[in-house]
Amino acid sequence: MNNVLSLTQLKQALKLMIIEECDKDVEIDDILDDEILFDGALELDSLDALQICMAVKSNYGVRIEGGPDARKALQSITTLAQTIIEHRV
Amino acid sequence: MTTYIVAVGSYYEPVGDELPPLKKLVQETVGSNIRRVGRFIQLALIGGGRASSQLSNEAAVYLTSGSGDVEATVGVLNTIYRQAEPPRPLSFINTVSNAACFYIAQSLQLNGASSFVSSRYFTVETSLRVALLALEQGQQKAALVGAVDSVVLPIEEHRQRLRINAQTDVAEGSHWFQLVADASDRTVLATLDAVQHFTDREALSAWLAELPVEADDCLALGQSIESDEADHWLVETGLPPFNFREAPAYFKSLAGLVFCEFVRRGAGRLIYLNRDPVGRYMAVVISC
Amino acid sequence: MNVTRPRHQAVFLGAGIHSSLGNGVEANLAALKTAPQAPTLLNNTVTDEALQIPYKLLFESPLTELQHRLYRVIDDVAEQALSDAGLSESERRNMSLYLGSSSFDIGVSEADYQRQLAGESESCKALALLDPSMANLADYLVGSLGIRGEDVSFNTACTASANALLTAVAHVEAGLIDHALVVGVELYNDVTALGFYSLDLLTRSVMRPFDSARDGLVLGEGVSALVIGRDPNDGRRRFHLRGGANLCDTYSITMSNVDGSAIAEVMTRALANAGVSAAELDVIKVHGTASLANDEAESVGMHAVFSSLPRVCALKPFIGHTLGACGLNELILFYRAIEAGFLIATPGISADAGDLNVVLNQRLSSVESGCFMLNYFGFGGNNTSLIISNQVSHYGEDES
Repeated sequence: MNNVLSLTQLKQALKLMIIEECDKDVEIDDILDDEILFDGALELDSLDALQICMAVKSNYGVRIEGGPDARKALQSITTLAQTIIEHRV
Repeated sequence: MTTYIVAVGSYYEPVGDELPPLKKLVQETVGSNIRRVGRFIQLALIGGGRASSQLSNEAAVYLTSGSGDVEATVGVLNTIYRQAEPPRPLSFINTVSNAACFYIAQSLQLNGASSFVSSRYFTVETSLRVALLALEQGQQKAALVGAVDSVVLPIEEHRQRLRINAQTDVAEGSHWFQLVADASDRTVLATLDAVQHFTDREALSAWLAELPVEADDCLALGQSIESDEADHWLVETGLPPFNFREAPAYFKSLAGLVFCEFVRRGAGRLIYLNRDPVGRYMAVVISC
Repeated sequence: MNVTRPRHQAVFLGAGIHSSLGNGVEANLAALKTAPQAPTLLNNTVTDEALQIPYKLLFESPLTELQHRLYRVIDDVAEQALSDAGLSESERRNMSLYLGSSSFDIGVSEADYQRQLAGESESCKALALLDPSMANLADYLVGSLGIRGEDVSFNTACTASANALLTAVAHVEAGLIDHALVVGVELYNDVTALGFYSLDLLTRSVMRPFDSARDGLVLGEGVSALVIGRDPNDGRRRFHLRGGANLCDTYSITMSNVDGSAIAEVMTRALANAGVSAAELDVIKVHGTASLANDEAESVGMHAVFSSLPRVCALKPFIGHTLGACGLNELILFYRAIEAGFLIATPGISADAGDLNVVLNQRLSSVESGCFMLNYFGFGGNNTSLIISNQVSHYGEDES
């Protein structure tokens, strides 16, 4: 499988997941890969963070533990995708 | 002292095989898009928003419902038992029914008291009674009181869940009343004269006998009063029934629709009676 | 306050409780004199992975036949309170019921759905939440106790039974009813247990409110009942609700504003409603969920209202967070402990001021009479502050 393509697909899927899980009124293309997810233009909060972690676990089987690890993983779509790829079994 | 109804707001829609989307209505009513909420909270925001003109930001919110936020609770139960997963945080939070009160307070910028109150057979009556007493006793100066019931599809399951027969038409409803103790700078639509509880039929009869009848009084009877008992009360009070233009479809907080309709017609006095299966009664009196 | 009817003083006439500490007020008081215990780790096998949910379950009441268990416990606790108050048959019939809970009988609906799912087929699909109503549990009690007065169920998350109490007292004081039965109920259910797990709010150790080492809450089961009625004026000094306030904080659905403003406001309103100054207050019973942010907000709020804090105590290390029932559970344990001659202490928890500058009472000291503040802050931004007192009536001589 082409790794570059699958990473792009994963990022698209994550954007869609965030839009649906957090009930955001934006389009997939409105979210940039390296945009800051929290305390940024997207206006996501700590409850959204928990929601996203649960959805990642449900959809990808990857558990994002709380604390600094979660903050790092949830920085942007890119870091979230990297975390999933690194931990996926 | 008198308690005034200075605004009413309602949403009522019979439901077929599809549910009309509500997001746009919410945005139009409260001026912003509220995310992370389901249909029950959307209905509450629409009805509450429509009754919120000139609402004091200290107003108390009293929300009631016949069935509660069924969509949110069923969603969580299915996540747990069908998908074998813990519920999503946002879904779980919305099963705490006071979530609707939170979003109403937030979107209408209220900071007063807020409660979800209910009683199985006297849903709307109980919320009005708690609000009326709080106003009469001076604990609150203004209140936004509402009753919300939503439908969860498929429609056959909704009927089965509510234990109503397959022929019964069903609806979604959200009916709200803005009550104030001081109406000096407001247009008064009606007064909420009484919300009384009776331990039995004799107590209600004795109260009715003492109630001075006026020429333009009419009688409305609640959902739990069967037709033969309805005939009895029409005869005993000698009052004409309050009639709808067409019979409304079923939802548990139907009394909210009755009161809103009456206030909108704007004439006369409504005496409304309801009972529960053990024979306790409640009465509501509204004058226009 | 603008009062239009003659007011009658409403006092606490009788109480009942079944918590993780024990069944009955006496058993609970005895356990409150010992150190708080760590929770049971409950294996939850409903979801795919084996989860352990820390819980404080009812004392000597195994988690079986949940419907039967729920009804048995609330019947028993209501009877404890009614007997303690010495209510006659006719007084019981005419009283009104005020019930607060965050989960009501959801455990019964869960068991029913699981039963249906076990026997589900193409032709017979399982249907969750049959005949739903927040008031089904109150309706059960109306039937089982033969109540002819009204019943009002309150669902305002963690303030539910505190708000039920506020309304019940108002109705007795207004002379609408002679007696009110206030009930708080919170029993184990999967929705609550797994929901709190999802919110990542749980700890496996004893809750440490306001402590620098606080790391979350423990869910607790608890059912309590309180009978309120007019003061029989029999020479016994009884506790009563002197005032209170309930306000909505729209900062966040799960968190108080850390600036403490909403919490300070509800406490200030409660004091004004009770006609008590901050300096006259003897003890604060904190909400204290031992979460990082909410304890911080509560601490900032307290320091804003009180230039120096009176004695502070916490109940949740003992019974866990009993959610909708905590309003009544903690009130009953608090006032009955004072009547029994002691102020609840949590040795080793917030023994020093720490980062939040709150010290919890460390020793079983005695308090004879005074004014006490009990605080409750819940999901949905619902905040309630109660002021109770066992001092001589503030109603003066004009009792009717």
